Amino acid sequence: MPIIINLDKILQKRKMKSAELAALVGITTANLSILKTGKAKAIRFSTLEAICEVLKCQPGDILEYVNEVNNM
Amino acid sequence: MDKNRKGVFAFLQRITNWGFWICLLVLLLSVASEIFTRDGAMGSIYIGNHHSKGYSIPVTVLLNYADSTFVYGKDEQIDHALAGTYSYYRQSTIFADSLRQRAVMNGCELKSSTYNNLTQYRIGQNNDVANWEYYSFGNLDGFLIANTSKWSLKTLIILNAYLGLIFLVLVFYCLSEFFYSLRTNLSFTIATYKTVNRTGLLLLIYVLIRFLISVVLAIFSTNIFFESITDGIPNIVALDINVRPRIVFDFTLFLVGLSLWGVSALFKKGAYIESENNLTI
Repeated sequence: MPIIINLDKILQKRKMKSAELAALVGITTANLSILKTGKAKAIRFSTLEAICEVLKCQPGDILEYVNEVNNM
Repeated sequence: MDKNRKGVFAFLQRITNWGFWICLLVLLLSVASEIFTRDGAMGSIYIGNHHSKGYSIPVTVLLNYADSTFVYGKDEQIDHALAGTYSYYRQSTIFADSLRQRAVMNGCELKSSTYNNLTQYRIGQNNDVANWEYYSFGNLDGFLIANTSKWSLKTLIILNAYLGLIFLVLVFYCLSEFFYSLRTNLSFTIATYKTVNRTGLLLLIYVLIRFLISVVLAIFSTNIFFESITDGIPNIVALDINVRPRIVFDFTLFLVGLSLWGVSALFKKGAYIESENNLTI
């Protein structure tokens, strides 16, 4: 999928663990794992808002568009 | 999930599961009796279908006869409200004996035959039997137990005899799976889609195979005629029986199968939406 989730990088920068983020955002670690691995089909605005609030970042810091055709 | 609903699904799953095992057992017993017994008897149990007796062929029976052919016995009046207006007569056993005798005279053997609603009928008005000189049963659907020495036809009639049981086993299995998937997870899943789809397809295939077999049997089977002969001359007012192969097409079952197959497409779409919803964080 051309949308890449950079949650791991931001978590590393903030020195925060996945379980901690999941607890603060109010989602399960299983769902956070689905999001991190790129298996998620969609993300709710409320979830994105909560993640941005906890990690003090912008949606663009978490989501990145990569053109697969140009990269090939 | 609602506990009551879960209980209902558990109950239905158990019922269909039992149905599956019972039908499978009956099917295996039938096959075993075909292979290992000479007359279909296993102790005190007699299996319906057996090569020694022959197999059911769907037929239509057309009877025409005059009153004088048979000895009628006046039966008790079944509908008292109509007493005095109509009388009910029961046909005597001379009919069955007559059939057998005629079959033997023609070098054949009538093993057995069944007709629907044959023994009881209304005749006459105000007890005036003479008003009815000629009576006809139009297009009675029944089965004729028959056998053949041709292997191609024999294979078909054996398949026809066991087809219902085979498909019943498969349908019970699919229904059991369906109720199990509903019991464990009341949502649109690929498992529920597959079971509904398979059940629908099984019903459609069953109806079509039975239809094709009946068409082939109708093409290759000959009509059976019984004629009354008086002093060497056919007596057209006495008795005329025509047993002809019947084309079987179960339209109700076909519609049910078609509907299930159509509904399964909705289940597939539902499963897709459900998975999308589950993967929305």
